[in-house]
Amino acid sequence: MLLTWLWLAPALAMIVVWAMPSRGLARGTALLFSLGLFAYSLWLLAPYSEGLLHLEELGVAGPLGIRYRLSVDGIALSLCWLSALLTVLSLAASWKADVPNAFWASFLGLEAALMGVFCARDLFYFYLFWDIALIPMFFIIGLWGSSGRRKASLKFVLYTFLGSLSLLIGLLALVTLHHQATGVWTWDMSALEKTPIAGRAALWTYAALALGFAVKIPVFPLHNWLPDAHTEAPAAGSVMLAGSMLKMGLFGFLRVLLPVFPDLSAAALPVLGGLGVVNILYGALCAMAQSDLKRLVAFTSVSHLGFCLVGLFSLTAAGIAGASLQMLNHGLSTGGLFLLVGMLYERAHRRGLNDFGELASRTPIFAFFFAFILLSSIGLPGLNGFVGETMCLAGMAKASLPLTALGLIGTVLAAAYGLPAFQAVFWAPAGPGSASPGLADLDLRERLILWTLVALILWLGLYPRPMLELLEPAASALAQR
Amino acid sequence: MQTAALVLFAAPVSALLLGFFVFRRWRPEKTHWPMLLSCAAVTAASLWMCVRIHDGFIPDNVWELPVYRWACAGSFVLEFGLRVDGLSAAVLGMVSLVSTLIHLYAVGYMAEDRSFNRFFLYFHFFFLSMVGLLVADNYLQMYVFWEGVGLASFLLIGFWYEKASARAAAWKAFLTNRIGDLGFMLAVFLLLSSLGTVRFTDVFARLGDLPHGTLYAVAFLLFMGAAAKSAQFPLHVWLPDAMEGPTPVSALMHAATMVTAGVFLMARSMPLLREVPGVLAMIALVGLMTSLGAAAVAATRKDLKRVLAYSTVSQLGLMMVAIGTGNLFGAVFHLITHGFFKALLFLCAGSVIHALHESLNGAPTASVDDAGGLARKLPVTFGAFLIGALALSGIPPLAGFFSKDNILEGVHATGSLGLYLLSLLVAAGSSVYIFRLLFLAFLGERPEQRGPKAHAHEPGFRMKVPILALAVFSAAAGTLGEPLAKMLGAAAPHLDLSISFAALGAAAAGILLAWWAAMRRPSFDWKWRRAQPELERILDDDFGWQSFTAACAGRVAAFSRRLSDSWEKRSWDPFTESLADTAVGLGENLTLLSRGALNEYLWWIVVGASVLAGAVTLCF
Amino acid sequence: MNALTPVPLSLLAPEIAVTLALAAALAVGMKSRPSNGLLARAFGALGVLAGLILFFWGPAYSDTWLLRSGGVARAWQVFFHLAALFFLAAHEARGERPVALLLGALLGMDLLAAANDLFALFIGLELMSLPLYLLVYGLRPDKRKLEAAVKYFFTGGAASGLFLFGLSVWYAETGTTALAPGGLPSPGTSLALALMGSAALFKIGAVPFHFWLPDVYEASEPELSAFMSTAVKAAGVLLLMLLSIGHSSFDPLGGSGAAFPNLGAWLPAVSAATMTYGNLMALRQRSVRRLLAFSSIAHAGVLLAALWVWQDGGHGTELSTLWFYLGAYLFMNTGAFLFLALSGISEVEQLKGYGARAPWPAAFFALMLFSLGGVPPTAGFLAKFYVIWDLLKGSGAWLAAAVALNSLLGLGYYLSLVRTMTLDEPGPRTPDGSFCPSAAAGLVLLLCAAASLLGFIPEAREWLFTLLTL
Repeated sequence: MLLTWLWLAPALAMIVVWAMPSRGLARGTALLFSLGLFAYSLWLLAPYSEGLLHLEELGVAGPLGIRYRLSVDGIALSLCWLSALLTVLSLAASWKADVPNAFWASFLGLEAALMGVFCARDLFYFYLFWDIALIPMFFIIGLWGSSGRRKASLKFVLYTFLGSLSLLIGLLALVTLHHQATGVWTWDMSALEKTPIAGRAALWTYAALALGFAVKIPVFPLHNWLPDAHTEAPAAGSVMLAGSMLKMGLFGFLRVLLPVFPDLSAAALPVLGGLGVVNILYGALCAMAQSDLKRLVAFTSVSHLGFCLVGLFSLTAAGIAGASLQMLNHGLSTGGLFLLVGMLYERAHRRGLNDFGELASRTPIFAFFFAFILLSSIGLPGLNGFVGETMCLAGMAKASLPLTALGLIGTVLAAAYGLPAFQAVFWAPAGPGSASPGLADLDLRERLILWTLVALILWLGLYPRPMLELLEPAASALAQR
Repeated sequence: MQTAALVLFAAPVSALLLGFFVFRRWRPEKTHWPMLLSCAAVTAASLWMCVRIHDGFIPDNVWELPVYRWACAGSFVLEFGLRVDGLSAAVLGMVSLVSTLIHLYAVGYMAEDRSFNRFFLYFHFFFLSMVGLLVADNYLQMYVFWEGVGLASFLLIGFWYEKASARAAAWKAFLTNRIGDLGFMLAVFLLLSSLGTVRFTDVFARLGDLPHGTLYAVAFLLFMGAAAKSAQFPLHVWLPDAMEGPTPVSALMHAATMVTAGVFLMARSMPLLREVPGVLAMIALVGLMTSLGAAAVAATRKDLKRVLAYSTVSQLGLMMVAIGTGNLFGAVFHLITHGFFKALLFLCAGSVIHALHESLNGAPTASVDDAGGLARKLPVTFGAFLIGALALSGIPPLAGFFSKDNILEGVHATGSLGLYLLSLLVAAGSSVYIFRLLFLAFLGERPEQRGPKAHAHEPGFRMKVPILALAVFSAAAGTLGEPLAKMLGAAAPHLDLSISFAALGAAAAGILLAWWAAMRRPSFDWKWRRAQPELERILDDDFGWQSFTAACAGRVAAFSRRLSDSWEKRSWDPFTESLADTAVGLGENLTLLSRGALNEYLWWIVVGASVLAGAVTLCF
Repeated sequence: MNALTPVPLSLLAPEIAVTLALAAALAVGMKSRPSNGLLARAFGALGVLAGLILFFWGPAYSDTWLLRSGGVARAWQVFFHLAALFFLAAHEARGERPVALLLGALLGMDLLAAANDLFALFIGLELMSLPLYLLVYGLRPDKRKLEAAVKYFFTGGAASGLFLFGLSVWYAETGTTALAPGGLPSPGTSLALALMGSAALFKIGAVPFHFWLPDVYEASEPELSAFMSTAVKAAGVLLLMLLSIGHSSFDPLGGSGAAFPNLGAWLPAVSAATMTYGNLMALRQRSVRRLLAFSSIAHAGVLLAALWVWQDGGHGTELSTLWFYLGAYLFMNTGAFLFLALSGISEVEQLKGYGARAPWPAAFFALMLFSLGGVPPTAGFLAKFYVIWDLLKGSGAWLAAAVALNSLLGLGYYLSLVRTMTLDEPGPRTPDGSFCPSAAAGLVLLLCAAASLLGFIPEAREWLFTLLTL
């Protein structure tokens, strides 16, 4: 029952928090609960290392082959930590927002769905949590977003729902074909591994599943829901959306596609690996041309997840471990950037690059944190971004050199979008209508949030080995080269 | 050796932490104390290491210490470790010595700057990264500190960030370095994927089983990284603009230490480069082309620090020529001596700028128009500058002569006359531009040099000591030849008289030419500039290369804007949103089927039934 | 089993209970003017409940030439009775006339379920339709209700005419009016079945025959629309199913050697057309009732797909998919229409910002909409999930894709309703949020909400199947 509590507790807490009489009480309980859940998820490492969490089943498999199965491997556990941590940080960051209980409740609901996705081992429940996560996000963007939230929220849900439908058809086709090939109805991921399905049907199923996951990552052509969703979502919403929701797509590749269709995934290297590189370059190039800070950060996350895709489809142990580590890094650094932009927006209600100036002298602490997390995001060695990117590209170097070289151009473009933005906001002199005069520097709460992020970034950057040892077994199980 | 290595890292890190957490809040103006102490400690440790290695206490001059395993994934394992051998100890010695002196100088130079603390934090972060780079035991660890140095140069060039030119220069430096790092990183990936390791010892031991193509690619890519950092031909555009930073920064980073990191990388991967003679030849050619071009431009610049910057590019080109001709000892020796006298020249330029401070109203660099006839007012600086100039142009007793002569011997040994003659031309060129600067700045005021110089005065004591120390080192560095050769395990240098005389002749000719141009016809400099403005513009634009690179960057930015606006914002995004509108549109047309009249309903029912019946019976 | 053997009364136990309730309701009306509507509804509910219990607990499977009891076809009664119960619970109008009319319609549906002969089918069909025309006309008629009732009457009459025409062709061809002779299907019988099938399609609201549906659902009382969109649609599906399987010896597990394969050949085309038409039209509606009407057309399309899979695949369990879809649809659609009835909302404008005024009813309506849209934790998703799965099992992959795409279209307008309700500020025409359901209506709402949250249990379909085939 250990893993069930991981998603059930936040679901129950959601209802409790929603029904709370006063807003302060709701806010307090939500934050305390999320802290508790984060501690619990960390504590799970002990039973995990004793192998207790490999399978947790309830009830009996009905004629449909569906059964309530949960299991966690290294990568899933790390993603649970990431979601729990980001929930704590985003709730703490929006402490001063005057929002009803439903705001805090939807974050807990979102966390429950995310934990469900990362722990699910049965494809039915995986899909169930996959879609449930959409609803709280719809309300978070819709109710508490900024001006264009109406359109962005509906666009986000419909676009992602298209992906989910393709995923649904893919899953059903997979199970049916598996039944035709082996005569067994099963939805268990490990039972479906290396399924004997072959030929065109397998290709179509793979395409449907890949499309479903690709919309979520997002992969290049299907990405344009991301900038709108991010610019309109509240800061905390963007942190959760970028921090953990985008990882559901990659986790899907990792947990469903790679083990079930190993040979097709190997054959898909030029297509999906290539799309990963396109993601890197496209995201970086678009980020260079943005004038709104939040849209810029949104496009950087497109670029970072391109690295994960490249790492994943190199099908080497290094690549896959690098991709999982890059998922965590992206959660920390892009989540941090969104928190910072949120704090800036909270003070100045403006997000334009040229709306600010000489913030380095007016708000030095804010400048330090922004510089630090931005450097980690553009992959400065010694910080976590570099570790993830290096391992993804090192993995891909074994698979195909041209993709590695193109991916590396992404790191150059990263400097091209990161530093000018930093210079425009912090170094350039304040223009006539700029919002810099009178900006207050960070208070203790915000500094505390950012110090945790900085500490994690430094730890993962300088000594990533313990985390890699956690991710290693799951990665080398999938590796083929 | 263990403790020395520990001090190498512990001292700068603790100084930085102290500076950031303690001094920043309570004593910002005293931040330089922990920094100076840590510099002294590191200098002592590195000199001690040089002595240990020189006296042969370390087996075959290589001392390695694996520190910790950084990351392990699948087939390859990435470990952090230290490696101190003859090469790194020597360069480390020079770097730490010069850094200590320039730290001392900076205390005086930056005394009245309001963000004194921030300056020393960045300055010492650079020092830490440089030390880390020199003692890395594998390519990846070297890359980590390599980018650390790049970041430090970004922060320090853009130290006075109020000025747009400083911001642009900082960003340009970081981006060009990042382009070079792209090559470096690709080489690392090539090695990782083919050998599974990037440790120097393992890589050089297993060079045999690398296919020739990969070897060739790795060598070229490593040179690409080195070219960016050491400002060689295609990627040298950032160094002249880097003069926007404060003079101690220019002195330390863009003259003595950081720019030599590229040469150090080449020296470090010498065993690998020796396997691919083609790349060596290419390196020599690029080095020669860079040094010739830079010398030409340096001889015509008016701005003091720009002349010295181009002179650095030229000297680095010379070192690359040495590497290209396989003369590792020559390159390293010149690297060390150049570190001393170029730092000296920059510090003198710094004190000139400091002296003319009021008239320059805060500009980081001074032009020849403002200087002129300063010898009387700044005798000590003039003397030091003279020693530096003599060392640079390679006049015998001073350091430059020995190292440059060794390079020329190496070039001569390769037998290609053209290369030798062009190297002699470079030697002559270096004496031309440095002495032209000397005569224009210090001797004889010309009508065009009307800048107010009444208040010019010698810099304070704290700035004079490093200048004098460096003057002594520039003079005495020549004697370092034998110990360095012993540490590197190379053959002891011997002076081939014919080549030394040729080099001396070239230097003398250069000095005479400079004297004729600057003293005999005092305003020759201004006259030809007015006569051929076209030539001036080309030379100022670095043979058109600066504007070319700016155009490329502009084109990439334009492409990204077009991609983000016309594709993302105006065609792809609206297209996906229009899918929803088409659905609603379809709904609109469907309403035309019937306007709600009863007879239409009945009509449809009959039609439906008959179509159905027809379909069923006909296709039966 | 010839036409003359007497029909034992025990077969008609449920129908008798409903008739008694009808009589009691009319008696209440005669006693005093204005009649006590509550008492009439109580009697009605009692009769319907009795019918329900008798179904579960009633006589074993046996069939005569005219009627039969037990067996899978009777299972439809559960849906009819439940829908009737929901209507009675929600309908507060005075007077006993609507109750009596409803019970009459219910009687017709039961007959339909029990019919073993084409005549019995026709009688059931007519007995079901006629009271509905009057119910649509309702107690407080206005111009719109009158127009809708007249339209419904004429188109209903045309459909019945088609059915009779088909019946006569069938009799001419096979010589008997029994549901299905043993003979090989011939062009004549297929023509007959096609005509009768189009009457069934009219009742379901499939595309070429659907035009009456939006006007009627928009004009009639929401609880009546709920009843019509669930019970009458189920009756239509039952009719189509009986026609397509043809033979009378209908084994309880619903196994169907489809005697009439090519009736099914056109079914996927009609289903896809219905789905797409319903969703596309619903996208642009400004009236919530009309939107729900088109959504019921869309769901009818999916129902046809489920029917086609059962008929095409010949597997026993696919029928359970059909039933589960019907059951889920019964609860979510009744819930949605009941919300409209109780909150007095009919225009989308009125929904603007309703969440701020009445959060819990808005949450309930949002849950119904999510369920209709097929968003996972709800029963609607599970129903769609089973249909797509069965389609993929069989050879209907393209239809599965069509169902999926249509559910996306559906989510488009369902979510925009939710968005208007929760994200916008209350407009001038937003009602003041007074939402006070009576005890019975409240119970129904709770039942609908509970049923909609069934999405977590994947075996729900199996449980329903075992329940209905006790």
